[in-house]
Amino acid sequence: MGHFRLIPVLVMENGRAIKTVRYKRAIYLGDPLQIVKLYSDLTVDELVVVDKSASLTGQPNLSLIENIAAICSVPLTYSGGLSSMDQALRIVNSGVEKLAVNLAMYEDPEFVARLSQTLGAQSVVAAIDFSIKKSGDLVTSHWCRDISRPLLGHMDACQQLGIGEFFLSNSPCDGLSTDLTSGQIEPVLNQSSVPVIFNCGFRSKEMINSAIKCGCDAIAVSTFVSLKTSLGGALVSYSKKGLIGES
Amino acid sequence: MRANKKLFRCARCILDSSISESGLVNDGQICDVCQQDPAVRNQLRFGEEFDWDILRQTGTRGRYEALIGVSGGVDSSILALKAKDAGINALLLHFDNGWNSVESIQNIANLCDYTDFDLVTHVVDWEKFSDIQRAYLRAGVVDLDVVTDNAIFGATKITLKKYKIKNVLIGFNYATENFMPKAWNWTKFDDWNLRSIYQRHGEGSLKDYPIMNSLEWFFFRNAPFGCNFYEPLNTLHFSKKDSISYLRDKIAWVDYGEKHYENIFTKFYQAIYLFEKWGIDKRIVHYSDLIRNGELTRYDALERVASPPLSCAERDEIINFVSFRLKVSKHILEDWIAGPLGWHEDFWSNRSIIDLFVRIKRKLR
Repeated sequence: MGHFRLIPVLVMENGRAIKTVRYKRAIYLGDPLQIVKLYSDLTVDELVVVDKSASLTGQPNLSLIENIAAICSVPLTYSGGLSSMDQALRIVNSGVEKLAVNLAMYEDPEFVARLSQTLGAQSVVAAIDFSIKKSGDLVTSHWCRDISRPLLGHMDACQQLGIGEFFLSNSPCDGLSTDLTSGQIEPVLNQSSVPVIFNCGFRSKEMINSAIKCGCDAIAVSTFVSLKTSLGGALVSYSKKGLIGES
Repeated sequence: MRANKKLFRCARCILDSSISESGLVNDGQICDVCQQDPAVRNQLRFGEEFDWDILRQTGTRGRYEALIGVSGGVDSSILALKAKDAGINALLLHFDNGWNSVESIQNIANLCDYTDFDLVTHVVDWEKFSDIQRAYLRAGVVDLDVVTDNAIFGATKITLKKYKIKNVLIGFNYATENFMPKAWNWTKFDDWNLRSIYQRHGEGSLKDYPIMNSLEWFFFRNAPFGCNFYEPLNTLHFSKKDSISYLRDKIAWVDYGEKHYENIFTKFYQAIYLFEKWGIDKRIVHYSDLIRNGELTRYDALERVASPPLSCAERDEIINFVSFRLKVSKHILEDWIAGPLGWHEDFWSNRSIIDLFVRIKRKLR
């Protein structure tokens, strides 16, 4: 297990930074450039930027991404609506370290494979949304499509395409609390030969610590780093104090 | 705005004769502000502890006994700590105009953790807000802070209503903020002025943008219809130096430099826009306040204002960032700074009506 990474996720819609709850209800956080600048100044381990509108249209807002990359001095992952090599190259050339693909994995695996060959596997992240069935099984899902496959099987398929990392989001607990158990986390970690980032509604130090105990070495958070106190006042903050393995 | 004639400096603080309220006409004279200072301090009766029980008696309609606006700066942070020490259940309100420095948000986060107070944040709609800021820069007027301050009062009003709070605690303190020249400011509630400047220099419409107008504020601020405003720091022997060391000790507070620099736009406004375009150096006023409060020597203050507020590298960094965020080229931003002075008086204004109200209120007392 390498160094533990705590990774803020910033969701955007129409160029506005928002905090979503179950990917629907949204709290306005402000100008994405300001938020990225603050995370960058706080020297977060890494930053993931998700553009919701781009996922819908399939057209990443390239000028916005370039501005974000210009102001961000920490490793940056972009996710949302990637579908062509030209877009991908332009985004990587503007200074984004990693590109996340989600729908393309189902609809155009060929593109993912080419992406990996061109940029190298370390720059390609497989972003997968999943939900938990009543039986406890994990199946893939997507907030704007109806896609349901066993998660572990889909992860295998992704790894064969040559991706360098998994970004797993439990979308039903976006903005809420996780109900993932260690019995569910461990098989996922065993299945993967590449690093796995869990983005599963870990909203408190206790939840993050128990995930670390299960063996997670990278956790993505948004509520934890963008809302404060029980009233949920919007405030960017970042501290690894009190987490296992940190002083 | 500084005239080319010879300037006289106060013999006690560092105000000079370019500030009309100083009343300085000769060398070796003591300015009017310094002369009136002991009397005002006497009247405020420093040292008497603020009567926190007042809040408990009047503020019990909702869950919270008082509202405190926090910026991450010294005064509001220390106010929240004092309220905590007094056992008040306060609600913290942060107004986010999109220009927070990293120091300010760290301070607010630490403040929340330490006090355990709830926090609500009012985040302005960035597209609209930055458009109004651009309009003010284009107009070249002296008080760019109106844009933020007006919206702060609007957010305060909304929050008080929503959480049924009757009391507002303000971080204002005479000890370190006892004087600001009138010519350096404009009335923050002058909604006509704001609309008029935006109409001439803005790009969109202000239809959905909340603006606090002067009448609304007047009735809101004054009982019986409105809320009670208290200034607890005014009764303390408030000292900036002691406060900072107290904050460092309690909440690992991070310093951001000069007064109001916790906000990047305010830093740009004070250290570049006012300093270069208007020849206004707010440090002169801030340091003079500290001299009167016995926290800074006149010698040190003079030495500090002898050099410009920012180094070349710092100035470049701020200019780059402000032009980047406002989506204008550096060239245009520099043009706005170097361009002709704009006057609030050239736009519609209801300042005279506000002044009239204030005068009537004073008479009624």
